[in-house]
Amino acid sequence: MKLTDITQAQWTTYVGLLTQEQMYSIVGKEYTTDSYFNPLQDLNDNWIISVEEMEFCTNIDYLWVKDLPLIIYEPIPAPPLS
Amino acid sequence: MYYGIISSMSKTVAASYTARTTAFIAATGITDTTIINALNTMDLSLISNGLDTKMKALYPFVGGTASTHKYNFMDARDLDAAFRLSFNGGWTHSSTGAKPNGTNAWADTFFTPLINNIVNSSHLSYYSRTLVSETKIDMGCYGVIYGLDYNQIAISFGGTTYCNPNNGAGGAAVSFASNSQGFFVASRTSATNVFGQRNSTQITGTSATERNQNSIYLGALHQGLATTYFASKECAFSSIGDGLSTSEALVFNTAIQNFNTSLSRNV
Repeated sequence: MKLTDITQAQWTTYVGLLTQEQMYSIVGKEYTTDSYFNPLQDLNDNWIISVEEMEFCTNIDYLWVKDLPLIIYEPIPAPPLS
Repeated sequence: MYYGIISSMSKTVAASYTARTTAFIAATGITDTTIINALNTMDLSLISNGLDTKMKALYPFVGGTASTHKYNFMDARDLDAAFRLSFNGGWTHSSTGAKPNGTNAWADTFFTPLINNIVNSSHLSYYSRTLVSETKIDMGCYGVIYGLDYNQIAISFGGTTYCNPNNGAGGAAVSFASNSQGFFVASRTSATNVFGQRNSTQITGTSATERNQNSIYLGALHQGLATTYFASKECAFSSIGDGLSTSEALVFNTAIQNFNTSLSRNV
């Protein structure tokens, strides 16, 4: 599944799947002016970025993120707070 | 001679804005007079009520882009030291504010309570436009080095809002049932006195004090090396600074409600 296959209402359900090399190449880089990529690992240790980062990317060096395969987001549970 | 005539004919009376409004519109490049007048009216209200001196970071989220939303109205320099926001992950910016995606979005304020807050005096505020119940934290930091101290607002965290203005380890949050829309304030005015506020409703409490060593994030909780509890509520205003008294917080609420009403984005 690709970015063009989903509606905006589905943006919170899906994330873009990265290889480890792709993750290293974008972490901390601008995807559009004053906005920076923030790759995370999901529950299954996949490196992912959000659909917003893919959709709003205007940096010509990283337009390939728009073609990343989408997977359903499975977050790592947040650690308990005392 | 012709030049002189034309020049004098084209003169207009320049609008008079506060120094902060002038600096902010210069930094952001905003030209929309509705936004500029709203900012100026807000600033005049803060000044006339003695609140401007208590604001260290104030994010009006106007202009509709990351490049305009990032600026601190109190110090509109493009510097970490000016508490200019750095947006990470998936944010959606629009004329109604900045919305984190609840997946991986956060913004660093570079405001560290241990360094930038006065002892026993702090406030946080967040104007949420989104109606949602989620177990997320909308702004704050949480430390494990100097103790399990919090500085956060968690709006409608499973239906209960938690306000922890520089609470020390074991310090109880002020909590109250609420939905997630409105203007929320957490404030500490002494070693023990704290309160939380949603619009004009206040809940007071007592809690031990501590200043956290992590910078405050918007849209998530800054937990040392980790960023957690990613939230999804659109923010139409946020501030960090010295503690506000209960009466000051009510005046502040009026100013910010008027600000967002003048921008037609109040909830």
